[in-house]
Amino acid sequence: MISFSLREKNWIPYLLFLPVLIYLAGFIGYPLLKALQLAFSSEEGKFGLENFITLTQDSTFWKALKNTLYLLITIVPLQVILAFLLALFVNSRFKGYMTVLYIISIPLALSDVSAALMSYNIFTSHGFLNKFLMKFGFIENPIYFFGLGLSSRAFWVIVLTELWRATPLVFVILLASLQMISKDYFEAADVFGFSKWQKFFHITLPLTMPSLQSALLIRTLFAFQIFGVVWLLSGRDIPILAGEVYYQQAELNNFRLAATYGFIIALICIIISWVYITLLRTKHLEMER
Amino acid sequence: MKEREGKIRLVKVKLKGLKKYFGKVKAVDDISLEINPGEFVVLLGPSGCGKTTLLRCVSGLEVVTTGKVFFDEDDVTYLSPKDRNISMVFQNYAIWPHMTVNNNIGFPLRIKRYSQKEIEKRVNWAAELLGIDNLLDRYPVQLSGGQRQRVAVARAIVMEPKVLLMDEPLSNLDALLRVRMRAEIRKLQENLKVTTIYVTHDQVEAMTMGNRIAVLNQGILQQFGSSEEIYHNPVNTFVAGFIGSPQMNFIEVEIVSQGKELFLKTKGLEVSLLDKYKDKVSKLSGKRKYILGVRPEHIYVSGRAQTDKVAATKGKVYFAELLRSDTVLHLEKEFGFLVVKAPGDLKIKEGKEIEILVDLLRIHLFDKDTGKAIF
Amino acid sequence: MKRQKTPMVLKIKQVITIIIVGLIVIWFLTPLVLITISAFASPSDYYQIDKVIPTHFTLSQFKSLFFELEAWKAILTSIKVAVVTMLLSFVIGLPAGYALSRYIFPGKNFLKLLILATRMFPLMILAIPLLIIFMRMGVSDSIWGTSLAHTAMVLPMIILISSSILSGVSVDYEEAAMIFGLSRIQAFFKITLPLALPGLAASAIFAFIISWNEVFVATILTLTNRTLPAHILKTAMASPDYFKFTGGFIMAIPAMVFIFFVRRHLVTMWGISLK
Repeated sequence: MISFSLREKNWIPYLLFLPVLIYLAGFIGYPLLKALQLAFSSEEGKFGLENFITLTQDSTFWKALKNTLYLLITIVPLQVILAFLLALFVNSRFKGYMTVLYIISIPLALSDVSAALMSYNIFTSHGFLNKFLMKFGFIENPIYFFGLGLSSRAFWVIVLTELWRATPLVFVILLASLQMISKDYFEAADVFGFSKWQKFFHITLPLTMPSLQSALLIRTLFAFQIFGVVWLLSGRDIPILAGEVYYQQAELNNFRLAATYGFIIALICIIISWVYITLLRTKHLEMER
Repeated sequence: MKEREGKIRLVKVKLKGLKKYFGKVKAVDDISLEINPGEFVVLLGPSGCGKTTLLRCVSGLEVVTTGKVFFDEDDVTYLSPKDRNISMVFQNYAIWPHMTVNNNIGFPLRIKRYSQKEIEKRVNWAAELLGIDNLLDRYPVQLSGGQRQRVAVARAIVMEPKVLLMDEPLSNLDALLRVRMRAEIRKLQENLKVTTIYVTHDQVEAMTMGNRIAVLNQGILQQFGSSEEIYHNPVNTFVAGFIGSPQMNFIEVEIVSQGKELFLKTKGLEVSLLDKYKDKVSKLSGKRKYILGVRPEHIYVSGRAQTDKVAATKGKVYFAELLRSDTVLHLEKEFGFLVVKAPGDLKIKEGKEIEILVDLLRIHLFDKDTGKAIF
Repeated sequence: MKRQKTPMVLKIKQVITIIIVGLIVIWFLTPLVLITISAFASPSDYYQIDKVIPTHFTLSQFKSLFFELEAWKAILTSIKVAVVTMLLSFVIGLPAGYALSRYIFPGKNFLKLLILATRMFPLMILAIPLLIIFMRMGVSDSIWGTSLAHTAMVLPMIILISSSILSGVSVDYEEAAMIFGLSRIQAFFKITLPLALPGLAASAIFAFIISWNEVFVATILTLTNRTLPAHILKTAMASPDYFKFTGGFIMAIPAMVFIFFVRRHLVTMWGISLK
């Protein structure tokens, strides 16, 4: 990054940044304070932990927390592994890999609502899967995936949908970092006697590790915000944290509890980011300066 | 792993009819070379001449289209790089960014399952040899360009390879460092006596470092010989023009006979042939066009000649490059410019006409159509 | 000693590659193909349990979705919100992106970190307080409220992407223009901007799509002026299945068009925005 020498006009970059700062202060900073205030105020508007007490005594909160964590630990590892395999495959640059890259990227731009409806289309009682299985005599009656008491089936449909929808997200991060590894490193490894596996474990893996870690973090954070897919496919049968924010606000009009749920999501995200940043450091990048 | 203890076995490298095509592009076109055990051979040529491709064929990073590569009597043509017992210094060093210097040098040994003690011994030996023993715990990002270069060289020699390959290893260094590393690498190779193939586009590097030089152009081997041979007896106009600075003067001439004498003649210049050249010229048949080649350092300013076998002519000084160590004169002649390398203490004004003397012993004659040297 | 790959090994490798490509294509395209079929399939075919692939196609559910369920209004709202978001985020974000790409100044790293932090933060939780603020400002349940919230969400991304795209345009061009008599602002508009335009256009579409897709904030902030995802979320549960598929299909169209247009910038852009 080269800069013009502008000693006498060094306020310019700050001026360029000013609109952003004002905007972020107004539409992120201020609402954030407002959210804090809401979460920590009682019905009469006094400061207190009342909302948190109400929340922890509500079994739905614990269920929502549990479900969110379940989804997280099922989806994220699978997603990262799948995405890494895909990225390695596409990065081998076979003929026509650009087309494959394009196809894998399509879900990137799809909304969770759209993705949920697509999987509903497949898994509903009149959906393609049931019709197909019945047509060829695998089953006699449709398998129901959605509805009361079937939340464990819906859970797996949600997992599949999220895998389909969000694996490409991890995939592009990893592919970008694979593409950045200089070919020279592998050629040097060839010359100095590395086997295929040694190249993978001693060059590819350590050099993509930073991206792998940040993909892991991003997916973890996003998993706490998962909403559209779950809400459309199971409603409140599988309560989740973000869903409860929506439910408290839109259905019950309880702004304070909604904000409290939101606060807890934010808190978890901040703690995870902090743990991540302190625990995982990449030496060869850290020591640069 | 016979070479683990004791001295390195010196290996002869033989390339036989090597071809490497990328689609229609003939990157390496039918090259045969024999490199003696312990020899330092430089592959020299302009960018895109196929020298790097040739090196990569020897390393196994490229698979040859046809032809054979032998190390001694072993055919290694289709062996993968790791089975060839070679090592390489890459142009961009390619030292792995996530490993310390120690690991960069030692890791290849670890892969070959050397004992921990042996690895330590060798890494220390190589690091000391290259003067980087105080940097072993650093990561590549903390090193300067010159230090990275040393790490790359240390990594290459630590395995005691049969053949050491270097792909423009000095091209990313600044001028001062380059001169120093040039000498260091040369001395290192002399001590280790490992058969070395070194790729460069820099003729000074080639002339100063190589036991022999292979000049390449457009995938074809032009000439393979010592620096002396290549400088004094270039086989064609390409080699003659590529080696030497400033470039050799090329002047289109006719062969004219007058009685017993033979002359190379063009408007503004007449050069008589010495007896030793006459035979070669008289054998020539048919009406062909010829090119006279003479290096700027073999044309003298009047009064400064070291021989009396010269042909004199005059020219107006169009431009004088005052390098102080030398003076390079550009003279206006009927056939174009003639470049003359004169001593640095010469005082000459631009625009002045001066007399110059062409050294008759140091002239070259080429066939214009084929570019091949007649003498 | 291992020999280099023989033609036989290469052949096997090729076949394996083709199989994997086939699996990838099937996995990623099937849901898209199926929802396209369902969007046009006649309801009677859909409810016929032994008919896997429908044979009768109709536009009737498009018609009723558009007019009876007033999806046209939602689509229009969605487009308005997305366009306003796109413009607003660019007007505010581009100068900051330029500052990051061209200047070195004290506090730069802090600002960069701040933007990255907002990127990581679960911004959806701001929907509740924003609703209260907008109610007070009198812009609740309007396209403005939703656009303002969406802009806050995409702004960090736009700044990071545009700064990286502008960094890709060599400063030399801009400096040359300034040497030859253009002011810095002129140089930016006449030289840098045109050169960066393809990349910037791609990131603009990117902003559009994020707004088009966003459902949580949009649902909370609006009651009558719903965007399409919010509208579907609210009404989908209560409408017959075939409406859901048609709705899902309509939502997916811009996404597919988008991916097609920005395919060249895909890896770099997402690489930056998610780092």
